[in-house]
Amino acid sequence: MPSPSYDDRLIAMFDSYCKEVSRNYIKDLVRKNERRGKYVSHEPVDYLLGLLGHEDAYPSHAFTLEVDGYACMVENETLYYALLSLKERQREVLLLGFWHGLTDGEIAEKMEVSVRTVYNLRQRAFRAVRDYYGEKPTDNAINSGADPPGG
Amino acid sequence: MEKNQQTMQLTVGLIRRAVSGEREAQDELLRIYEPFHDSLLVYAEAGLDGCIHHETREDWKSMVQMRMLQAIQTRWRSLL
Repeated sequence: MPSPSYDDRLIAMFDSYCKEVSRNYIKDLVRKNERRGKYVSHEPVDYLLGLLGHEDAYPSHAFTLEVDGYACMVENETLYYALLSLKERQREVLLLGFWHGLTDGEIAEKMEVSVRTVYNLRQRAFRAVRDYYGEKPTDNAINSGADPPGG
Repeated sequence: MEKNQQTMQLTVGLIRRAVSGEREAQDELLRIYEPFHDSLLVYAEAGLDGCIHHETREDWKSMVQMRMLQAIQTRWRSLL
């Protein structure tokens, strides 16, 4: 069997490196997730839509966010503050997508970025919203009469 | 040297271009490694129909992809 060429060895090393980096990063994600001990949705779209569809305990109250000159009504207080905590471009992607029903292509055109950037902004936004929910008590917990820690 | 699904599709030119930050090459690299990433991020979940469905953690997948691109540009730029 002929010895592998320089190119073959380089490719094999590169392949091995890419796989190792990916495996290690996933292990880190799993560890962080376990440490936090909080729920992480496997499907961010379902997760957020679930939040949007959640019946608020304060139906008479509504919070307003603005994107592209249009008002977006958010009934869930925790979600409202979670969205407020996002960076402006992340929030814009979520509002344009979920409230205005724009496709990624349309959002990309409106924001003058690539579709991949829209996708990445949305993923970061999902993560930030999940992190926010991990830190703050949810409306459910408040409404169910759960005592605050130390209370 | 045994070749796998990824090394069969990789070329030194593609690696160089991806490492130097060329967007198209990076997209091609992500396409090549997509089955590998999917295999790491797949999970089984029981559906409402009682059947087991296999899904991929798409939110983690994009993070892994970004991490991989970041790593090769940091580590391999000086090697090539």
